[in-house]
Amino acid sequence: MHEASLVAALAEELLRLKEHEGAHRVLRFTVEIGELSGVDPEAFRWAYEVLREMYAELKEAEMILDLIPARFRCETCGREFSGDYFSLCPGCQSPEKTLLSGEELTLREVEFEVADV
Amino acid sequence: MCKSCGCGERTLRVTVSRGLLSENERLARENRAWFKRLGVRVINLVGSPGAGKTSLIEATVRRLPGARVAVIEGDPETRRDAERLSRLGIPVAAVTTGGVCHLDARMVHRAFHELAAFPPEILFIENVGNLLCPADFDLGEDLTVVVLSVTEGEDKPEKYPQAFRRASAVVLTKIDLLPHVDFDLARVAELIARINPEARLFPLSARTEEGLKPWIEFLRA
Repeated sequence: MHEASLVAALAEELLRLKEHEGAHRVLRFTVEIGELSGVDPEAFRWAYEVLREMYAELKEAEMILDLIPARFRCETCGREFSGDYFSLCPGCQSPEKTLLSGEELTLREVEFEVADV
Repeated sequence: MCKSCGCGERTLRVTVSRGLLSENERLARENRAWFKRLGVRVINLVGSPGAGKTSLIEATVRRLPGARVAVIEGDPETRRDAERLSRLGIPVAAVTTGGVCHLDARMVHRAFHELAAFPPEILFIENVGNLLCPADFDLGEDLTVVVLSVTEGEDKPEKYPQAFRRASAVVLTKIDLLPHVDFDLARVAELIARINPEARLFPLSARTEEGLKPWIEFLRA
């Protein structure tokens, strides 16, 4: 359940950004979770539901999870494919590959409510 | 102006693109600089409960007479392992994480304050027994070492690739039990190589001390 620590770090970051932008509250935000990040999206969401009860500023903040699939590029033939760390290239069976996406654990975007100036 | 009611509120959308672990990574960089300044070589031991992390430290310390070794010992609730290691006559800083399933860079920073007055040459960080969660948290170590016992089954690299992916080395412990378990060393080596071709492999037994020598040489290098 390191999801709890990650969500705690997320809350800190959201509050810091809210302060920085001089916003009233956080409306919604998007977190990217890669398929290979080792984070379970359901546990992450559950941890967030528990944590938001502890922060008045986050009570109404909606979390959008964007799950990023794992993609690789074959070092031998250049083909791009989905899979995991153990996958061989479906084209030429080479084990040599570069990870293109799938390890994300990123706060991508936040929407705040601010007073009109 | 707020579109729905004209109350003078408006929304602001900010692109952040910041990793959730970036604060931990910043603290880990500070730790790394601190360790380097004091000439400490830091090894983060990650493995399941019962993989043999504490026994590996004990056997290693016995093979390093004269070397200044210290340990930061992470445990969710008790100080039992820390007490066990203290009997080796080396400095041990215990971190009780209060149920948290991994160490992070801040906990290690605090714990190292206890040891920094007489900096060790080699510092072992015994992470909380868990193969999943510690993988994400850089502590500022020089070497991440996965400790995997042959009694755990050979599918561990497939189940927990993240831990193996970051490792500089994998220590396969309890090889004295190989005749009694279904554990194909060659197959596990191949699985690990698929995830992390650079990882060094050290099959050994802390109990019989078989295979300990290459591991000690690796630490001294």
